[in-house]
Amino acid sequence: MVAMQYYLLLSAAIFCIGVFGVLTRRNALIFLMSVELMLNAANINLVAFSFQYGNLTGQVFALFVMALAAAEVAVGLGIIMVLFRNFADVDVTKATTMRW
Amino acid sequence: MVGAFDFAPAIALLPFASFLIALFAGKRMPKGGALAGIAATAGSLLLSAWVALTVAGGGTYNEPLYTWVSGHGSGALSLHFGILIDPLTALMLLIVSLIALLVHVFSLGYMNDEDETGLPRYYAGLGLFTASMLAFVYSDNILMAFMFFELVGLCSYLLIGFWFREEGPSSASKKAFLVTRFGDYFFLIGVVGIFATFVGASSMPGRFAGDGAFPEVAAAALDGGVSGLNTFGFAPETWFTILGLLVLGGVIGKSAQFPLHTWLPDAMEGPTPVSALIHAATMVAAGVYLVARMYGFYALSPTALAIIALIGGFTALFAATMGVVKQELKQVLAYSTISQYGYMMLALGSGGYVAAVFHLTTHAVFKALLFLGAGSVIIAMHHNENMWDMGGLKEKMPVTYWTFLSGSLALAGIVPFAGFWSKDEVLFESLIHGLGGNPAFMVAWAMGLLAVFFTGFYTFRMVFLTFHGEPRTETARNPHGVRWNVKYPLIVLGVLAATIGLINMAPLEKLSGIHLTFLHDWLAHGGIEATTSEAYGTLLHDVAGVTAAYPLGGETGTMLVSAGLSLGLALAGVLVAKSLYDVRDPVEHTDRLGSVKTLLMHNYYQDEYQVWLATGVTAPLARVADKFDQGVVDGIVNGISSVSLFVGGGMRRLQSAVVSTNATVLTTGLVLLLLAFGLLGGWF
Amino acid sequence: MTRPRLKRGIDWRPGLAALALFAVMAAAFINVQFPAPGYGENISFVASIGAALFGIDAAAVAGDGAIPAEGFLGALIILAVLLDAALDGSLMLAKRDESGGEE
Repeated sequence: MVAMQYYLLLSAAIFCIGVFGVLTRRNALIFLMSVELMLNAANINLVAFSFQYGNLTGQVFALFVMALAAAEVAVGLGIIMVLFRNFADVDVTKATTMRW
Repeated sequence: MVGAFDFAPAIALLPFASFLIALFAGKRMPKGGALAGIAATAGSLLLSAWVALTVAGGGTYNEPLYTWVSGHGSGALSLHFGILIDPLTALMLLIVSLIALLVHVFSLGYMNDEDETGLPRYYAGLGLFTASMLAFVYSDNILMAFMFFELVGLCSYLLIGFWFREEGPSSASKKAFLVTRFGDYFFLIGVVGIFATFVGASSMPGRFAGDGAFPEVAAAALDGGVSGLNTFGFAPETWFTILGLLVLGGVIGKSAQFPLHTWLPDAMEGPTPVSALIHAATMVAAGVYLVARMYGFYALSPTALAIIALIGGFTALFAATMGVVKQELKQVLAYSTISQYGYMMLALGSGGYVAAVFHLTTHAVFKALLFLGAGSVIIAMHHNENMWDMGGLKEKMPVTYWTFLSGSLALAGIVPFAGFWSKDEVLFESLIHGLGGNPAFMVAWAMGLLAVFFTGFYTFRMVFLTFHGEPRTETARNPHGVRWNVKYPLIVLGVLAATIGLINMAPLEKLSGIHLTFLHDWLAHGGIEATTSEAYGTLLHDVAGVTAAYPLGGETGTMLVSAGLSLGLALAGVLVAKSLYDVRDPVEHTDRLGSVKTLLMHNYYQDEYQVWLATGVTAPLARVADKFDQGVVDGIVNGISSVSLFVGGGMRRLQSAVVSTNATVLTTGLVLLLLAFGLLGGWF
Repeated sequence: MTRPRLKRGIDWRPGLAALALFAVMAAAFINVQFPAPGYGENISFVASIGAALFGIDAAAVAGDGAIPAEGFLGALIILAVLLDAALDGSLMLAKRDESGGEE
């Protein structure tokens, strides 16, 4: 059996890759993809603990998270379209009007 | 039976009501508020007369009417407004209300008939002044007196600066206010000192008379000690002298004594009725009246008395010399006022309480008369005050001439006019007390005596230049006529100036044995034992060591010598003036004085000196203090705020709108938080 | 021309925060102790998941092979509505851009 620590480590690694993407990438679409990565890292965690405790709640919850991620992507793409319309670029570092 | 004292508050409240009426409804009234003022002062005069009659019958009144700070517990202070009426107060109330009434009537002629604008403001100022002065006169405690002292100063400022759109009056009113304020600063410290000293020994420490009044407590302290007295480490005598001198600061400012006399000649920029009321008869009397009111306190301190006498004598001589060279009519009268108040201070300092009050009374009458007469001349000369442009007005203005002459004879001190009796008594008192062993009084007496010569000289120089000789200008040939509202007050005052000396003819009494010193009796017996002149005499003799000596042939002989000297010097001054100026075409003789003339014309450079004090001493100090305030105090505050601004500026830069930066900060924070929890919780 | 390329020239310094996060989490996870994991014998996942989604008793659907779980009926309904809303919202955002795009 794969010990629990490795599931957690995997989940942590994928999460941190997602965070890395959020912190460094400039294209808004890639930004959104990194956010998806983070969500899925959480999913791995949920399923792992569902296996640990022998309770299906974690898996069902992961299903719900996936559905939510889909909904969020739909709205997020719409926002990116509006962003492009206002700033003529999908570069997130160009949209800097809400500042001091 | 309703007594006069129940209406005593109305004496000051009636003019206050006329102030309000003139202020708010003056524009709608036919004479701009004058009639309200005349009615109010007439009412005050009638009430004062009634009060005086009651006092003559032996009544007195000393009540705290309204407590505005009530102290609880032992050693606590309570502050109140109250009324004190004893013979001195009653006399002063009569004088003030009479002169205020006459000035109001005169103003109809001076201001209304000359088509002045802004009359409601003028009558409001006069009303407020009369109310404040009357309230000052019957104040029963020194704090209330201080408050009304300041109020009369304010009214003086408002009225001198009546024609504020011109540069002269507005500057003069500021000068008057500032110079008197400088003296009042010391007065305030004195008031606080009096309260602080006597609060432990009395529940109402500021009172002039009655239970716990500070003159009586002070006398008891010197007698045998009083518990609860706080003399701040000084011996009681020294401390009382210091307090007396502090209060004297305000007196010197208000009564225009040296060195705070410089405001009074400039105050002549105001309308002449204002000069007559405020700067001749009443406001400048406030200082001298205050000393007379507190005389039980001053009588305990020989040093303070000597200083008062010396200041008085010096001022009398000093101002009289300056009056000799002046060209404008009102300026001569202004210096004359300063000089005559010097006489009153001389009398008070050298133990002549009755003489001082007598001179106060007569001076109020004849100086107001002289100023109103000058006002009449000024109306006639179309507001040209220069005496060298006048001349020959005797035939054209008989009423003014004869009343002015009556006032001048009184001022110069020629028998039997009022000024002779009062000035003679002042000099007599200072002489005998000086001979009794006080060299300071002798010096002051000598100065006062010498001033008599100058007084006679400048007074009659003024009369001859203005009224005698040939008219020197066209305006003098055809003077503007004056009406009844100018003439009647002049006649009333002219008669008074000739006759008011009769209230206290001490020399005649000594010579003939008939009882003629009515003022002496008035002040010697009263309902409040401690404020009678007899009580003051006892204090002066026992505590201050002021004794009288009559070396020149007993009392009568000394008195004759003194009277002869003063009369002789006055006549000599008059004769010199007559020889120089009572000619067809007088010329200026002042050049014969040489360099002394420049000194006198520049008023001994006192104005320049005071300006230098302000610009050369006070202004640099103020600049240093300002730098300290802006640099250090404000600097600390600004420094604190600049720290917060700096930190804020730094923090602000975190708010870049770039999402990634926000996320970075978030992540970093999360890492730190996890680290913290982990280390504390033992995760690692 | 459009073959996949590595993105070069990005500012990787903020990414260090992500690395630090991983380091902390890894340090915490390495030392974790758990009892033996596992579900049991002869289990049927999908039937149990279906029962849990509708909030009905798992034994009614899967018999012996039921795995315990909580009821998610409320969440199911809410998410259905939410997905609907998201679909409509994104359609609206897309449409608005096209029709009012040049305003």
